[in-house]
Amino acid sequence: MIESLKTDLTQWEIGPYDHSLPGPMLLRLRLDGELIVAGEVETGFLHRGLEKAFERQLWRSAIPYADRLDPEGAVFGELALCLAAEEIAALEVPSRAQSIRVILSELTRISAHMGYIVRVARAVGSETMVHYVLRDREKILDLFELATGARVSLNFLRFGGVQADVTEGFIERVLEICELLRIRLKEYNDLFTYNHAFIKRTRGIGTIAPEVARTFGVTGPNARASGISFDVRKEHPYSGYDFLDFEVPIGRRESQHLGDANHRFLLRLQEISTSIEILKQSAEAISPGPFALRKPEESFEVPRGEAYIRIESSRGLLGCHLVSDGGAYPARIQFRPPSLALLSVLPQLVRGIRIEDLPVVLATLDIGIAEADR
Amino acid sequence: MNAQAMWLNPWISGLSFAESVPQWLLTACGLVLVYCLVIVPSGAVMGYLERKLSADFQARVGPNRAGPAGVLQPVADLLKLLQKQAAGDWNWREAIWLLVHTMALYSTVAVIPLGSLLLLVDTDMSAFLPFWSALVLALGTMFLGLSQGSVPGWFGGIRVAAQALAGAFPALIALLCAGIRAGGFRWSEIAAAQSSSPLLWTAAANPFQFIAFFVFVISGLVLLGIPPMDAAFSAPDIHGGVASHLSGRKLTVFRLGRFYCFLLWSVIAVVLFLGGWALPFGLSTELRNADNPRLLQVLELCWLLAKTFLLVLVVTWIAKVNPRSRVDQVTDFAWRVLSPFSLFALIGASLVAGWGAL
Amino acid sequence: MEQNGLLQKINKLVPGAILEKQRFGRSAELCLWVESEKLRELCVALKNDPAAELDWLENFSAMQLEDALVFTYFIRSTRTKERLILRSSVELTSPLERIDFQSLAGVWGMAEPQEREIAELFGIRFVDENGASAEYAKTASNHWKGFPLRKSFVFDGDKGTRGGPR
Repeated sequence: MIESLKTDLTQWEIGPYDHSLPGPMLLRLRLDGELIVAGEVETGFLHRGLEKAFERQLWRSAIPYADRLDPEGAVFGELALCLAAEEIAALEVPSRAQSIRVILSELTRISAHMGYIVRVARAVGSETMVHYVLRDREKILDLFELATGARVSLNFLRFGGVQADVTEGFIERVLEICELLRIRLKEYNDLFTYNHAFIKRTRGIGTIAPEVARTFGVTGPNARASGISFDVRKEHPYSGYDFLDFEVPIGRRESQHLGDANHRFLLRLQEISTSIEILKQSAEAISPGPFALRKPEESFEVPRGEAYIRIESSRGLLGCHLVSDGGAYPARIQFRPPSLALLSVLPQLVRGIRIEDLPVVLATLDIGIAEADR
Repeated sequence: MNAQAMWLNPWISGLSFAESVPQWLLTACGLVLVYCLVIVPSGAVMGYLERKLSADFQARVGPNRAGPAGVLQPVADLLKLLQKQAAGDWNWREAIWLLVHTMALYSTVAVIPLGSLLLLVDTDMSAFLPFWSALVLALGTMFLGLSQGSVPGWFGGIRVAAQALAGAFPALIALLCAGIRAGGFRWSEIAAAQSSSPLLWTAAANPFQFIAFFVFVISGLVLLGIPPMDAAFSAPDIHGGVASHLSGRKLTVFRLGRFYCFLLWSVIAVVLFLGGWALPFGLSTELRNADNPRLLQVLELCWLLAKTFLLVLVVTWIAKVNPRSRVDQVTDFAWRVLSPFSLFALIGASLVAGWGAL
Repeated sequence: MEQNGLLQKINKLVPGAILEKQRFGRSAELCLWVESEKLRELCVALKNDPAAELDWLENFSAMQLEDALVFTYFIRSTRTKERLILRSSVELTSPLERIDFQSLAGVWGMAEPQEREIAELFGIRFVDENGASAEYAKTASNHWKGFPLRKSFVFDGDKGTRGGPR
């Protein structure tokens, strides 16, 4: 009977719909007991033809589509698009609009990182943390609704500024949220971050070495957790970031297991702190003035030209290559999503980990399937 | 007359047909009554309390629609599960699981110590019987997992077996410690060695017994796969593992079995280490002297269940707040931390007991 | 390294590769039109050159300009502050025919996922130095004809898709 026992590797396909995956993707795994020996990634399940859709709509309709590039970080898509169009058309953005853009960007970054904490907590099985963080994220979404009318896909930025001025009380509420989040971060640390079971689940798991990050072009919090010091807000400042004083958190080179899941998690907590700093500075320094230098209801066509803009989205470097031939429709809008690099790195990362670590690795990488597939 | 039926006597002594009913029928009725009146309502109450309390921890409301403040939620859940369409026929492995489950697991209903007059089986080895039931549960669950025919089920089954083996050893050793102090493994002996005051509980007798108490409870969690050590049933990576293909009636049987074992383990922990059913302020002896067996039975049962519920709630509280541990971390912990502690407690307890005899 | 030094170095390493140099949009970045045959050679030389060391392909974008497909490579260095933009183009033939182009997946790791996308969306076969092309799983279902991001692509709604005008 021993001869009839099968002892070779097990094949297991996870996906495309599975609650441990960040979105629709297929993971083909070969398992040796509980260890993953090899993994293959297949994506494309969420391809919506976004880049073609841009070419079929007028310029003014491009902004809601850019929202849907990455639904979790809607403002980043809009911002990249608007900055690229403004570079081609040489439009000047008034400083009040720039401050509003920075405030919305950082609020989106905090909201996206909170969604990240929720996913990590769910992956390790700590349901209590999930509810605490979601409850606080609601307050940020309420702020978005106050300013723009929508909770997630804002459709608020316009070429040359923003759609309207922020309502009364918005800036005060932003400052209140900053205080609240500062207290809540401490609560999260007490409950979850230094929990011994959580640290054991994430330490040394799914380590991205700095050389690997460089080879595949990993950017954003994942790269900074591996010690690579690169943040687009400092390297190619945009929208007034060069006038703000903030420090970008980077993983310390001396720490053990640099670039593991625990470091990626801790780095995003620190990024929330940095974003709170930036929010406070922007909210306090916002100056009265126009919110756009051209009337929003005028139809606008981007003149002939092209531009490539980089911004720092919550997942990494988001690039937008915009080409216009002077017509009423865009000639080509191409986005460079930060999650593509992570999908290339994933087969390497899953080799050698256990099945139970797989949701943890996937959750701590913060892959956005919507932006990777477009 | 054997002991199994003796506890019914105070309740049926006035009835006319009590003499003519054969002994085995009385025994069977007794077991069924214990199951229906004690186990199932405990399951309902614990399920409800767990959901409401975890809702409190998580800033939510919890069930609030079925009945006032949602008290009828367990009833609603049971009815819903029972009327669900079966997902498929029973294959032969699932039939083995059902057999193992119902016959072997629930035969331990006969050995639960539920009061000084409710000791159904009071033999020299009574204290080891719940241990047997936990291993049987693990075996049955492993069969169920391996019968799923899919990767999540296989993983779940193997993890159950690994955790059961890891948790069995320290649990057994800790059990020995309690018996050493009491001088035997009869329920009545163990109960007699403790009494109503918390200072005379086994857990408070000496530090070694205290360690044994903790090791017993924690290794029971490992053995049974209770959260946060429930890697065999974890949702994110293996879709619920063993239970991933279960629904409807099979799921009800599965969940009741797991709850039953958890309750059994907690009852045993309370009886061994936390004073059992001894009512406070010497009420037990008063009621016994006043020859009021019915009230004595009911009060002792309620007191025992109250302590058990407290223990279960503390475990659930810790489970809700903490992340799940990986299965190899759990078994490492059981073999490298719990086992040495249990052996240390055993040696110490033996020394203390032997010193007293010198 | 300033622009003239870079241009001289490129002309020394891979002579005849640069067809034209221009400014990229309104920015100050240098954009070089490269002959498509010499593209891989130039990229390998730029990556291995110790002074420039352009080892990170930040973005790879393809677009259709009139009758040609233009590929734009945004490359930079992870260690220095060097940035460069390379462009190359290939003529489009008929709307339903695939075109061959050099694959840079062996040079830069980031090229592979983007090439996979562009291969399907624009109808390109990316060929590596041995002449082999990587086979990628098709994302679209089997009744899709044509290459969506080409200007000639027609989406007929319920009737399906066509590669170009009938």
